[in-house]
Amino acid sequence: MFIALIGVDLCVASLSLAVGPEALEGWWLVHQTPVGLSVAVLTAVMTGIHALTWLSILPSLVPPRRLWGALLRPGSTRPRPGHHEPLRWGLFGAGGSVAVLLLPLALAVPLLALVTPSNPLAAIESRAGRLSIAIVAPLLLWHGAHRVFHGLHDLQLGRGPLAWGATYGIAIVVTLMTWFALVWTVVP
Amino acid sequence: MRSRRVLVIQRYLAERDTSPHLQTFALPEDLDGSLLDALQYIKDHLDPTLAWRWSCRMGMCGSCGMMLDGEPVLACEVFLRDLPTGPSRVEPLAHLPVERDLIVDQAGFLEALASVRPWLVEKAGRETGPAGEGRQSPSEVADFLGLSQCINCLLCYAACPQVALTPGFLGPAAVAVAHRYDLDSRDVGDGGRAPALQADVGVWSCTVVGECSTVCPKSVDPAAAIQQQKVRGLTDWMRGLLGFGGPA
Repeated sequence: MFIALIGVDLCVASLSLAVGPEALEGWWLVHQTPVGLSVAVLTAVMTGIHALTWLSILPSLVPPRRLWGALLRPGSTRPRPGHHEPLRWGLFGAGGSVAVLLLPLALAVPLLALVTPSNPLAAIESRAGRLSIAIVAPLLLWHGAHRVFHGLHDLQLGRGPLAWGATYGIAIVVTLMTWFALVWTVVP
Repeated sequence: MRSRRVLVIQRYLAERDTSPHLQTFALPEDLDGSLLDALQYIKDHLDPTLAWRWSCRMGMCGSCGMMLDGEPVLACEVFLRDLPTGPSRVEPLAHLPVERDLIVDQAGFLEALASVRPWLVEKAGRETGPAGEGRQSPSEVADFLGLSQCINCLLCYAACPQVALTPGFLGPAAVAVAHRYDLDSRDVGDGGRAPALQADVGVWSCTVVGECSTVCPKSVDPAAAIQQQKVRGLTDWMRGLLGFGGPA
């Protein structure tokens, strides 16, 4: 969920970007407030602890090297209609992996907020920055959504449309908002 | 002076009881050995109606699985001297229907096992030795050897919360043995196993709790098998999407 929070933060950054430079400065200033710093630190710590899960699982996820060819062999099954759990899981894994790789950056955000007033903003405004956010934010949001969706089943709260909407639905909506905001100021 | 070891055991006999209940047994101070030995003592000297499954008494047959203070164990591999002081609770394996006392109904598991087709489907024209035996290098054997150690003790089913939450979930041991055959270099039967494995109640019901691998007495690591099958499912799905999936 903290990973999804990072995704939401990036969405807000994109929206601020779309609104104007003062809004973007405002977004960064929020990070420098005590509340903003606390949330950033908490997010970094929780994400770091959760990343240990990824590190312990990763070795078992990979079959023996000799068998990698088996994964590339023409498939054994055709996907059943409506069977998209592998895709949801794949995006979940990608989001988790991205979160782990960005962990050093996430840990640095609280420090950056204390030290540099405005340097990160230039990076966000650039093409590369926007593209990065466009790719990273949805993956992070999806990671949180997929885990919470299955968590709702674990809490016996069901897997129906309401669960779908509250998890994947929110992730998709926030993603669309982010993409829209990122493109808004680029396309004249 | 050592206090007498006390076991609190769940009893249930359908002809006599409307619901399971607990019965307390006090063991002699000098009784040593395993939990299985303690059950034998109870049946021989205290209550001959106590019932449980056992066979080899050395951790190989997988018969004597049960819950000890909420943890799934093999009774033959838990020693009385290692138990904490105070009464110990002995119950049948969690998440499975109870037939009688410490005996559970394995029918659900056996159905799951059959559905993944756990047998070798050999490729035609494979390399054979002089007596017709299949050839495998040591590294090819190593790929699946760990997974072949499963003794079907069902401790992993008792440990897995999804077995309780998701009716029809294949479960760790069934996926592990299916993966054992998928990884076997002599086998080409993965297409027959995939429908059961890739169903929603197949590997996709697993949420990587990992308790199955923690409690496995033979270090089979079913959690790893499940995650590798998920990767397989993802690559098959992507290939199918791109239009070159195999036969249905």
